[in-house]
Amino acid sequence: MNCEELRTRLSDYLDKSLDAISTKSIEVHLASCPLCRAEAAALNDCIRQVSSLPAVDPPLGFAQRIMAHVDEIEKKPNMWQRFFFPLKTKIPIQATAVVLIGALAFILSQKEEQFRNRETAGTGVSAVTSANPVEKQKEAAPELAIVPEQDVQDKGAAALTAKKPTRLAKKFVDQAKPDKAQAPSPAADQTPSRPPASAKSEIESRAEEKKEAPRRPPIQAQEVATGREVLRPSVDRFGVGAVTGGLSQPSLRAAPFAAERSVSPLGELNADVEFVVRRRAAQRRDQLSSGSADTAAQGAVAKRSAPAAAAPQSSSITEIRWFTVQGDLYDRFKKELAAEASIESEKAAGALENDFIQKSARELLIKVIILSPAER
Amino acid sequence: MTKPSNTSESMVSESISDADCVRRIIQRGETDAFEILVRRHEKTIFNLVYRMLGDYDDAAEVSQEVFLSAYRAIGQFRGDANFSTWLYRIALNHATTRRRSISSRQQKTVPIDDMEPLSDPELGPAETFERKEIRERVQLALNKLEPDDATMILLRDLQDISYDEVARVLEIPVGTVKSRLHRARQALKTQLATYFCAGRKAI
Repeated sequence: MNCEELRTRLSDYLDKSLDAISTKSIEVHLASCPLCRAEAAALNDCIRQVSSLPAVDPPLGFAQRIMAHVDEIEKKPNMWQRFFFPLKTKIPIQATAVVLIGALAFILSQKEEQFRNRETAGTGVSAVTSANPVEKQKEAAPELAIVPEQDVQDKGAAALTAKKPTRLAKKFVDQAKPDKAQAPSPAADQTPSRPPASAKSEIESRAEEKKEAPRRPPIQAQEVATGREVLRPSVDRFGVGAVTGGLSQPSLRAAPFAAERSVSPLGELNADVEFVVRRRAAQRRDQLSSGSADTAAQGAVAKRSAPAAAAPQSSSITEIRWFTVQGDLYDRFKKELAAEASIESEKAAGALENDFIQKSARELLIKVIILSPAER
Repeated sequence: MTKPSNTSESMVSESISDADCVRRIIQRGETDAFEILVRRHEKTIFNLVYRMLGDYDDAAEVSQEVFLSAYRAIGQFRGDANFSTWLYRIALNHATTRRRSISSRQQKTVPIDDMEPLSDPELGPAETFERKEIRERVQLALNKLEPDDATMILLRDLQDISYDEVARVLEIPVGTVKSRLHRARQALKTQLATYFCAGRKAI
């Protein structure tokens, strides 16, 4: 073993961490090499100096101070704990939260009510606002009716959407039955079993149906349901002829909603043509005789439509009805309407010219505002 | 120093292992268990930190930080190592950081001040004084070492920790411990040689 080799292992040797053979060979070398002996002595001295450094005591109360800090760490809750941990603040916070949530829910429900009122007022069916026994279903109806205009032409979509409302309408009828003694029987079908309302109109509408049959459900002048009408005990009517009957005696709408009918993106029905008609006195009498249940229902509705009454005209509006009519049948619709009630005004929506209306093959949405006969 | 206490409490605390204390802290949040650990290790840790820094007040401050960070991180302590090993590691991290900030802050002013008694060794003939001075020299030499070298020497020669344990504390292989220790001792010898040679010559 040379000096170089020894010096790399001197540290281990002094720590006595070498095996016996290595230790022996180092001892042999040290005995013969004064330089390495001096080196070993110096290194050993260093080690001894360090290990003989006296132990120092930590400052007094060192542990106590640490524990005081530990207690502080334990006591000082984090942000989250500060909110929820101490029971005495926890309960008031939760109580406040419950109250606030309740208040918020109330405000929101109020706002929603207002919003709904405004929406229905815009479409002219404000007379049929909520708070109705069948409110839920009524709410469902406009939703189902929300289908873009173009889709009306889309047979697939139309068929699809048309189905649903039918079923829904059926349900309405079923629910209406117990309430109204004279509820209609087979009401809901799209190919309705017609009431004997007017034989003439039936034939007419059948003829029309033939034309339309392949394209869509066989309804030309299709009354668009509103919740109010749902309540009416009556026979269901289809075809142009039915319109007039509907005027004299509001009918239970068992037929499909105009589910595929246009609704503006804002959810407001846009009528292509708007009529204002006035009932004739005779028909009024007719209606009065139609049964106490009907009157009662009307009374109830009138009460609920209080917000709409604020509008100047609405006091004389007894009903607003919606119809869908094929463009080429528009004239006949108008004629029959005139036969049943006096038309006070006719207003076509902006772009629609009269002859365009007649030529157009597409369905028109017609809004009929029916005024009571005697007033004014 | 803490030995003479005869109270039953200290008897109990001495019978609880470090691992049990840690378990009690983690599982039951018993701060008392942590106090046992503090009292058991405060002296070792304080001395290690003190020798790393060479300043008593700094040592007190840093040692406190060491224990508090150990307390905060107690959940990270894995039972596969000794608590003392883990604590040493934390202490060395803190001490090394502080040491670096001190050396960059004070820029060798301390060593020069401490050199004064060296140039005038005859002033204190009393043996106690000489011993004190030797200690100061050794401390100064340690201060001048690279932190890694000082760490090696203090763990092995001051704390008398085995190679294996040093390897675990520093998380390096044992072979590396040996070679680094050798290098550190050589460095310390060089530092002390200037003093001892000067001192002997002067005497």
